Amino acid sequence: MISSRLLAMIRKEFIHIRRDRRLFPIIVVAPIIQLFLFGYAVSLDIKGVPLVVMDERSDIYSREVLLSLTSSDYFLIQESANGLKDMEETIKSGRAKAGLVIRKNKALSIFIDGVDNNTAALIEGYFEKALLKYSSSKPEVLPITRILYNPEMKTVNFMVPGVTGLVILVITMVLGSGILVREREIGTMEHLLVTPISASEIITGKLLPFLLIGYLEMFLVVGAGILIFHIPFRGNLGFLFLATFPFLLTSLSMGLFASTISKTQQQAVITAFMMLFPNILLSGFMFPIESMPLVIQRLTVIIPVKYYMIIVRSIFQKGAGIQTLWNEILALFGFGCTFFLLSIFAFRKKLL
Amino acid sequence: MHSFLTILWKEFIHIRRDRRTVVIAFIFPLFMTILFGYAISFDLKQIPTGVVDFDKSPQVREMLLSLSASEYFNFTIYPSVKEMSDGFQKGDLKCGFVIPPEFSRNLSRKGFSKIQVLIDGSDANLARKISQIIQRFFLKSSLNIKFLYNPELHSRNFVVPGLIVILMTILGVILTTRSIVGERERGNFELLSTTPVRGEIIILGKLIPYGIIALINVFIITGFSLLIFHIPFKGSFLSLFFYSLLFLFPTLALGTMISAFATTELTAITVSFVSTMLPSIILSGFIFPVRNMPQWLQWISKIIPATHFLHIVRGIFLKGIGVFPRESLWLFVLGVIYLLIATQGVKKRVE
Repeated sequence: MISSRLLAMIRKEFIHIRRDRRLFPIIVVAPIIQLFLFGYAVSLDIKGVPLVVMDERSDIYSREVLLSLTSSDYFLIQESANGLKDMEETIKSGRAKAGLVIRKNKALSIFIDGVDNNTAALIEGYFEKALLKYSSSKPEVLPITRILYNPEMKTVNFMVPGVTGLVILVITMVLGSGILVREREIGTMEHLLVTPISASEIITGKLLPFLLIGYLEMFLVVGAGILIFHIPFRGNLGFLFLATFPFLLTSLSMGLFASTISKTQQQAVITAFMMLFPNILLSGFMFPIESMPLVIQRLTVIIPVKYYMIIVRSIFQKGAGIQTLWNEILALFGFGCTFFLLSIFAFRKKLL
Repeated sequence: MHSFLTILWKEFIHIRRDRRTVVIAFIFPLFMTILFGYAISFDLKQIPTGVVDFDKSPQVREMLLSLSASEYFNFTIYPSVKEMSDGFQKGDLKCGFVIPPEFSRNLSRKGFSKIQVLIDGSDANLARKISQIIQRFFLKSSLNIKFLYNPELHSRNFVVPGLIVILMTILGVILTTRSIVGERERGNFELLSTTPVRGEIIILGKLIPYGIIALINVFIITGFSLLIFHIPFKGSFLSLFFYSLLFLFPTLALGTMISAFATTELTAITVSFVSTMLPSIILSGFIFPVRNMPQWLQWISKIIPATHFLHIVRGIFLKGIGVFPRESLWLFVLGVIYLLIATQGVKKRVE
C-alpha cells in the first residue's frame, strides 16, 4: 500500500526536520509554557477579597459580622474607612475590591467594585452566603449542591486536557503552513515534480512526519498533565490516541491549506496565525460556548477545535467512550477530509 | 532627518503593498472587537438543566415555572436519576435538580424543604457561575448590595476597554517583529546598512509606522465602544491618548527585543505568540483575576506591560481617573529594560 516513493519522501522530510534546529524550541518549549500558563492562570475564582470596612458601631454586633466574613478565606479586611468618601476612594484606587458599612441601626450596606463583572458577581455570592443570617427573608427551598466530575472545582483539571488540543493545533498549523511553500521558495519543488512521484504522494509524505510530531505533543501534554499536574485521567488512553487522529488530520490539513494559498513562508505563517485566533476563541477552550449569543453558538459548528475540546475533556474527566463521542469524531473526519482534498485540489491547480 | 523620513516612507509603501499586513492592522482588530463585544463572556442564560421529580406535586411545578421564567434555566424532565446521569455524561446537561418525594409535605409542615442540585464541575468557572445563580434564586438574600462603576455588571464594560490593550500589544509586537525579521530574512538589512543611514534611525523608522497603526486602532476601538457598545467613558480622551503613547514605548521595545533574537519569521511569530500575546491575554488580568494566581505567576504578570496599561485604561473608561503615577513608572521602567536587552542583542548580532 505504501509505495517506496512515499517512503523515500517521508525519509527526506525527517532529515529536514532533524536539520532544522529552530524546530526544537517550538516543539518542546512552547507546549510547556502553554501548560503552565493555562494550567494555573485561567481561573475566575477569587479568594481573599480585600475588604474596606466602615464601622459605625464597633461593638459585639460588628465583630460578629466581620467574623462571619473572615472565617471563610474569601475575605480579607484590608483597611478601615472613616467615611463613605474615604471608602469609595479605597475602592477606586483598587486597594480594596469591596466595602462594608455597618450602620448604627445594625443595617449593613455593601459596595462591590463592578469593573470586573465576573469576580463582582462571585463576591456578591460570597457575601450572601457568609451573611445569610443577617438577611431578613428566610429561604423556603434549600439547595444541597453536589459538583460532579470535578468536586474541588479545580480549573486546572479542565484546562490541561484542553491544552492538548491547543498545543496540537498551534504546532501542526504553524509547521503545516510551511510544508509546501518552503520547498517552493528554495526552488526544490521543481525538482520534486520532475520525479515520478505524484502530487498526493508529495503531500502525504510531507504530512506524515508532522502527524508523528502531533502525537508526540499529545503524549507530552497528557503525560505532564497526569504526572506533574496530577489531573485525574478517567478514560482510555488507547481511545484518546485513536480519537486524536481525525483532529490531527484536520489541523494539519488546515495548515496545508494555508500553505497552498500563500506564495512565501512569511505569508503562510501569518495566514495560519490568523486562522488560529477564531479557532481558539470560539472553541470553548477558555470562554464557554454556553455563554455566547445563540447565533454565535450555532456558528461554532464550523470550528473544528470545538469538537476535539469536547472529546479530550470528556475522555479525561468523564471517562467517556466511543458511544458518547462518535458524533464529534465523525465531524472531525469530515473537516479533515474536506481541508485535505481542498489542499490537494489547490496544489494541483497551481502545478498546471 | 531627511533619511529618517525616507525610511518612514519606505515602510509605509511596504505596508500598503502587503495585503496581509493591512488585514492584521485593520480587519483583525475589528473582528476581535466584535467577537469580544458580543460573544466572549462568562454570563449564562438558559442553562440546560435536568429535573427528576419524585414528588410530582403542584408546588414543584410552580417552583420550576418561576425558575424558568427567569430565563436562566432550560428544564428537561427525566424519569430517573440514571437517565439524567447519562445526560451529564453526554454533556447535554450542565445542571440537574433531584426533588425528593417528601418535598411538598416538608414545605407545608416545616416551612422549608431540601432539594439536591447537581452541577457539572468539569468547567470549574462555569460551575461556579451556575452555583452562584442557584444560590441567588433559592437563598433570596435581602442584603443591600450595590455595584460601583459597572452597576449592571455588563461583561462588555469590562472586556471591550481591555481589548484596546490586548490589540495594541498584538499589533505592536507582531507587526514590528514581522517587519524587522522579514527585512533581515530577505537580506535587505545588508543593503540598508551600506547606506549612510544610521542603525537606530532605520529601526526607529521601521517602528514608528506601526506605532501610528496601533494608535489609530485605539481611536477606532474607542469609537466602537462608545457608539456601538455604549461603554461608559468617564475619563478624558487626552489622558487616554497620552497613556497610549506611553504604552507604545515598552510594547515596541518588546517587539524590537524579540526581533533582535529571532532569526526567521516563523520563530519570531511563535516566540511572540508564546512569550507576549498569550501572557498578555492570560496573565495581565484582561479576563482572569491576577490575585488568585500562584505567586510566581503574579510576578511574571508584573513584567508584562499590558497588566499596568489595563489598570490605566479601565481607570479612565469606568472610574474617570486622570493620573496614574505608579503605572506610568512601571511602563517606563519596563520599556527601558526591554530596550537595553534589545540593544545588547543587536550588538551581539552585528559582531
